[in-house]
Amino acid sequence: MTAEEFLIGELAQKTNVSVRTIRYYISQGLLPAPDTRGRYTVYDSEYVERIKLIKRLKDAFLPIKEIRTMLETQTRAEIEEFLRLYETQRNQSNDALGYINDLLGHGVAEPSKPDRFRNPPMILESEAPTPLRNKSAALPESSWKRIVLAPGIEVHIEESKSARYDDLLQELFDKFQARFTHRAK
Amino acid sequence: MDTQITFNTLFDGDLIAREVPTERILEVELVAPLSSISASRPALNLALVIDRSGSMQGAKLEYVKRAAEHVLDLLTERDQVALVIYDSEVDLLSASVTVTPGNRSHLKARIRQVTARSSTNLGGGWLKGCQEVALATREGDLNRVLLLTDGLANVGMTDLEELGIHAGQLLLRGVSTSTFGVGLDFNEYLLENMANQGGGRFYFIEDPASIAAIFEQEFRELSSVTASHIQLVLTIPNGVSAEVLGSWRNELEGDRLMVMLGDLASGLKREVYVRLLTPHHKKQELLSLTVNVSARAEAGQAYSLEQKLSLRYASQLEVSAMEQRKDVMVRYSEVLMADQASEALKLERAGEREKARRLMDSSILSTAPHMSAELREDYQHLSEKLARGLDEQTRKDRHQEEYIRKQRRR
Repeated sequence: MTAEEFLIGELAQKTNVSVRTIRYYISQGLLPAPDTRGRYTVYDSEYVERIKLIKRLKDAFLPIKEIRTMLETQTRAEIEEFLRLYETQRNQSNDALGYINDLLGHGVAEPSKPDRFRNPPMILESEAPTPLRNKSAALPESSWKRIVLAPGIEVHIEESKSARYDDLLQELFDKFQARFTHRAK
Repeated sequence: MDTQITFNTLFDGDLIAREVPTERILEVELVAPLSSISASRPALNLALVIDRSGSMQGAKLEYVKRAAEHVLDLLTERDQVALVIYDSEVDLLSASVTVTPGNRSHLKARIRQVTARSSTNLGGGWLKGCQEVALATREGDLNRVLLLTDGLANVGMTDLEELGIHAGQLLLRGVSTSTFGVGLDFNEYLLENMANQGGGRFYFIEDPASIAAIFEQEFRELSSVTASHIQLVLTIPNGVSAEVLGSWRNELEGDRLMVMLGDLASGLKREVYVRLLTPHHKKQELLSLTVNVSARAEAGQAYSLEQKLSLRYASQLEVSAMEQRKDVMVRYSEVLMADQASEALKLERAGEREKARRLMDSSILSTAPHMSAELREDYQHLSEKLARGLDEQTRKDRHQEEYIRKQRRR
């Protein structure tokens, strides 16, 4: 490994975000899927820069979806310009009240709206049997994991993809479960 | 009389190796000055944020209401307080008012009328409290939101990291947060994180009967704060990596590592441990770093103190022959072990019992040279229990215990 490549733990330390967050960014397409070198997955210094940029965009209260669009469609210079404008403006109203009003203005503290479910809710390995496979189909064979969220609600994930989304799914499931448990009360 | 923090730094050893990277521990100890204004305390600007979600029904809500009334009794006409209650919705029961006798009895009457309702918009209720405190801010006041909950944030803003970031940002803007978890259903990681980021303290109220005593403790600490907005800044030389233990909120900006340490009450001590990995260097004699502490004094004026520290390069042989400072290593090992135990508890909760046990066992092994037999036994016992799985009561008890140990709160 060269000096410019890091393992995920080192990357986390360098950028001061958790390993889980990095995996989440990758799963959300904010970061490209990393290279593997033998047994290890390595990240180069591009990742460090990119994560720092994502942190600043998050500080500007941009939702993940908008950050992704921005990273895909704008040049680094354009993003820097956006952040410069935002940070100047924020420094002018750098008090608690301005901060809270900004937050409430973005609606994040409002009671739940249906669009809070913009990510598919759920997870957890269920004891449910895997669905029958359709062997007669000409399509390449794929196997699916079936997760029962609640009576009558299921999520299906193609098994080859499921490991990639484990952390995200766990996170979503926790959220879903918290909501669902409450509703069922 | 001294009105500033007393500030000491100590490494576990002063030598680092020329040939290979070296791990060194830096201990920073801060002691708040004794209160110089003997009879009085700073005016408080508080918001009491009370969870009235369905699960609070019964004894929990009754005790919380009694505790809130108790806090009102402790406040005087110099103080201001706002009342926020929330379930799925957030209600401002009373905007911030000064605590005159008339207002006090009015507020108490409002509290008595609170009944339990639906789900938990913890984020919304908390932000409303922050907003009230921010609106009522006066020069020299101590601003704090006291968030009481027994449940999971399940409506509105619910993400642990997101709420933590906002708590940290609001602390930088002068509004701190303490959190109080009641019963066995709340998310201790969320509440601890909000308090860690928010510069306050996290309390686990194990049984409703202790609510009043816990509030009194928070109130005592809050009303005798002699150093507030404490921030530690380490200037880290190129090539050195640094890690802060104890879950203190910290941020790395270029070569500046900032650690936010909240407020400290009269005479109380705060100890922070930073693990440094120094680069090897053939020619250099010394590796220097700067430690800066900034805070506000009791009367409100800001000040900052600075120390320059250095580590001396030596041969690898000399470094390994050097005597480590035992006392530093003993304290550091306790914090490290508590950090790891918190992590293991998190794993156990996620169903990773075997991983939790392995993490505990390797941590016990690595801290063994500096750990008392008693403490080691305690952790070995915990490790065995983690492998079998814990009940919710034990999880919450242990989490609170490790929180106090890793931040050396007692």
